[in-house]
Amino acid sequence: MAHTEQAASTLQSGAAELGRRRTFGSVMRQAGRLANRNKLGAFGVLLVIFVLGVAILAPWIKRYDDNTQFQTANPKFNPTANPLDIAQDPELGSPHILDRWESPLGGDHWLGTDAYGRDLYARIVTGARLAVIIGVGASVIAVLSGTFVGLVSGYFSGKLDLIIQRLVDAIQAFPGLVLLMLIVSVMDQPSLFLTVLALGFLGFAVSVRIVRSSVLAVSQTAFVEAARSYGAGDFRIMLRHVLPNVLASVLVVFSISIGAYILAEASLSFLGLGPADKTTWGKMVNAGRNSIDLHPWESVLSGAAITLTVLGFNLAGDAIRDEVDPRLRGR
Amino acid sequence: MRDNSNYWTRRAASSRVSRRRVIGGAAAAGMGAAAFGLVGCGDDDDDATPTTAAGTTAAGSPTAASTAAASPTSAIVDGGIARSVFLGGSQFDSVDIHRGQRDEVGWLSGSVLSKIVRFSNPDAGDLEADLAEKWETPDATVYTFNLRKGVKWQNTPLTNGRELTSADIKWHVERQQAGKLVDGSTPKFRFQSDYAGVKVETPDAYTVKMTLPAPNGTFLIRQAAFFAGVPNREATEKFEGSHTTLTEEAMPGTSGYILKQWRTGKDIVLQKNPNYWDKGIPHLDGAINPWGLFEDPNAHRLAFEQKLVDAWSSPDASLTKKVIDENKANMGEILTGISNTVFMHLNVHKQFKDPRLVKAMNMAVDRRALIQSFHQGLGQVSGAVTWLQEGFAIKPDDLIKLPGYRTDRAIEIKEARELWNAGGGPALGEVDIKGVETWTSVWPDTYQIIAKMFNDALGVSQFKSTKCTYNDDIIPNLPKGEYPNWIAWTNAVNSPDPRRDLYSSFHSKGSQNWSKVNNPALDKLLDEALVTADLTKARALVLDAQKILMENAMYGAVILYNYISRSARWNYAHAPLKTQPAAGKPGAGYWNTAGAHLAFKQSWLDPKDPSYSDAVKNRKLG
Repeated sequence: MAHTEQAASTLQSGAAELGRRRTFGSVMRQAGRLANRNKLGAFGVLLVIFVLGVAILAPWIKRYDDNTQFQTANPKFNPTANPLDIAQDPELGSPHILDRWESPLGGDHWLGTDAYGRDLYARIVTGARLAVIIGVGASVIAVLSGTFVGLVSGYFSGKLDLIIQRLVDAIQAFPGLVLLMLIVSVMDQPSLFLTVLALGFLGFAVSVRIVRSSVLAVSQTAFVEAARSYGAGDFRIMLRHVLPNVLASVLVVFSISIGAYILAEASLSFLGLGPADKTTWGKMVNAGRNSIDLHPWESVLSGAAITLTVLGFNLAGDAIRDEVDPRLRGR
Repeated sequence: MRDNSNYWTRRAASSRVSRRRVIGGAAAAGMGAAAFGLVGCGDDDDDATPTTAAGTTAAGSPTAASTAAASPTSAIVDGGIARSVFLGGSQFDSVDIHRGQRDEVGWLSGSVLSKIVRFSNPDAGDLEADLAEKWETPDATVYTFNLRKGVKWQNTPLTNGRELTSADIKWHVERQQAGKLVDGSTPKFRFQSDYAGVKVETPDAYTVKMTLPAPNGTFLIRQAAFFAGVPNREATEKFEGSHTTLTEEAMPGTSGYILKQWRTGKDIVLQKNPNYWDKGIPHLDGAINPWGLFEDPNAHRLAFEQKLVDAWSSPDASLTKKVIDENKANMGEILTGISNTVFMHLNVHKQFKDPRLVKAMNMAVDRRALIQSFHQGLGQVSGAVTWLQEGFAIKPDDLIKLPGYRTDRAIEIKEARELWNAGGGPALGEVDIKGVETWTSVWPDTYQIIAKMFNDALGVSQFKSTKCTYNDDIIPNLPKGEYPNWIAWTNAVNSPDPRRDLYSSFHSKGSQNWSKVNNPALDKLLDEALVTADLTKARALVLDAQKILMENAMYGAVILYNYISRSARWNYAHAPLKTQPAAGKPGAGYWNTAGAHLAFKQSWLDPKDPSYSDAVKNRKLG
């Protein structure tokens, strides 16, 4: 039995390039070579590193609380002003005037302020954290659940596979955003966790499909046959021989789908279906559009943040796919 | 014979026509109140249209409406279809006006159902005839109404276009009084307490005699106020079991318009009633309220710019101003005191049982900051009686000395924290002050702003804010005392006289006393205020009642402020206004939402105006 395991491992070692020990210098040199070979991919990775850095460091670098409303004392305040006078001069009614719609680079607020006098830089940095949590969280849920179900479906095939694949068909038959809106609407109060869960559910079907097809291919390989012929159990074969050989596909799905989840959450928030009590980029784009012809900054800056982040994850995901797929490597 | 409208005429004459009163202008733009929300620099033009029957108004004295209206600019043209939207979407909760709680029901019914009497100037309280051609009060407890002959119900299979008679009025009053449906069940009726003990007699088909158990200074005005329309018996009873399902069949009317379409998700279509007793009006062929368009401010703006609606108001008042300034030749600016008071309702049966917590919240909420945040400063704080009801409200000089209204936030916060801690606030755990969806669809950042405001003010981190809806979470749960804590608009102020509403909300026998207030001293003041016809005395009693209310933070029904809406309106669209926009000066509309009938005379579309276009001309009722 032990010999059989060794034989199978030897066979699969050519397929899985995992677990090699490398020094930091060699890693950096290889990264440099990869960056030189795939400049767009390198740009994507840099963007991802930047966004992850911002997200991780958000509490320390955001300067202000994202919901603090900045205001200035108002010498014109007249607490007994009648409403007609206030209608003619709204500054009469309040002891403080909100610092609304300050322009970027104009003062203390690097990116200006929004309609409620809140610092846009703080809100975008906070939004980055939310975007990463949602993107990575949903991707983890989708990939973990999809990998497990795809593994089982592909490995056992037969009726079980048929049932699982028809369920996946049913999920995929719905337009993604519509299904997402349906799920979130049913939730009534879409919290951050529930939003992540809904997005993960949506991505689950895609993950199942991709992992299953990889499993089907790997299941036919000689080392799996060898392991099976020497009496290895299904669970052991799946875990020790099949799974390591589909991890490359899983990694690609994981990295590419993060951008898609961030975009999907932004769409939900834009439509008012995201986590209502959180600062999200989609919500900022929506809030800013009401006055976009007067004050474009909120929508433009939060929209740019979404674009660059999604671009970064997509380019990085493409680069990973190029590297792990021998057919694409070096193109 | 004594004409009872003299009371209000005296009131109007004795009250200065203040600037505040003038600015308390029609919520029409978003409100859909008068003229289905059609805001216009309307031409009052009483001369050009048939007037109501003689002897019905205040002894022939000019009403505030006619004196306030601007001089006619052009002859009224009949025809055309107005289009506008309701503030806060289209959350109708009932087709039964006796049971409806949502303001949309009141607004819409105002165009369809006639009242016994109605306002000629809703803000001043001047009355005129509607179904009652005339009325008299032999003493302070007896009202005899002589009904107009020949008033026909809209011809439907249920009504067969029969004549409205005194039996309809008797049923209208007695049904609300009994609060009972045909099947014997007793759901909540909106104004049940208003009719307690009233005896209704019908000596003939056109005479109704109502005998009150005691004098009531607001009884007549109640007949003209919000939700006072007389519904059709056959239709109302047929749809009692399905009253939350919208259908135009459920509300056949006798007023200027008839409902052609009233279905969830579809345009609300009103058509001129060809059999309306006041011949020659309405001037419009009809009106359309697109369903829920207001919920997307940008869609609303786009619709306005394309003249798919006649008026528009942005949540960002500066944007409305910009659009008006860029189109000065074709648009007018209307300023309107919004009668839907912004309000915080704390559940005193659950988390906020301890009065100290309610008082703490009343001080923790920063009213002026909210006006800044959501209305760019266009608004003023309101006490238990809103500033729209100037004659009865606490004067601003006195109001700013009271907790929750003081200008020194440091003192407010200090005292709020002491009360919060003393009342066991920190032990409450998570406190959710919900934002109502119709509000948060306009101001989605409410959730974050509200939660932070309370957390910062009380020095805690236990507040959060999530969404709720009137129809699902609030209205059904009010009678059960299981409503959430929430912030948004409350019911529209529907009368210049707040006595009935104060009674309804805070008297131990009030039909909308959701906080179950039971304060004998307050009851006594409200009882006395309600029965007196002496306005000076009534005001003094209401002020005393307000003192109790303010001391108790309004028992959890915490009034915050009333704001002023700046709306833009195309010049071709004329509608009821108290003052017309002039060069460099905005117009002012009626804030009171009980004047929908004013649109019959004053709403019209001017095809000769340069802003008129094919988009307006080609509108169809569908």
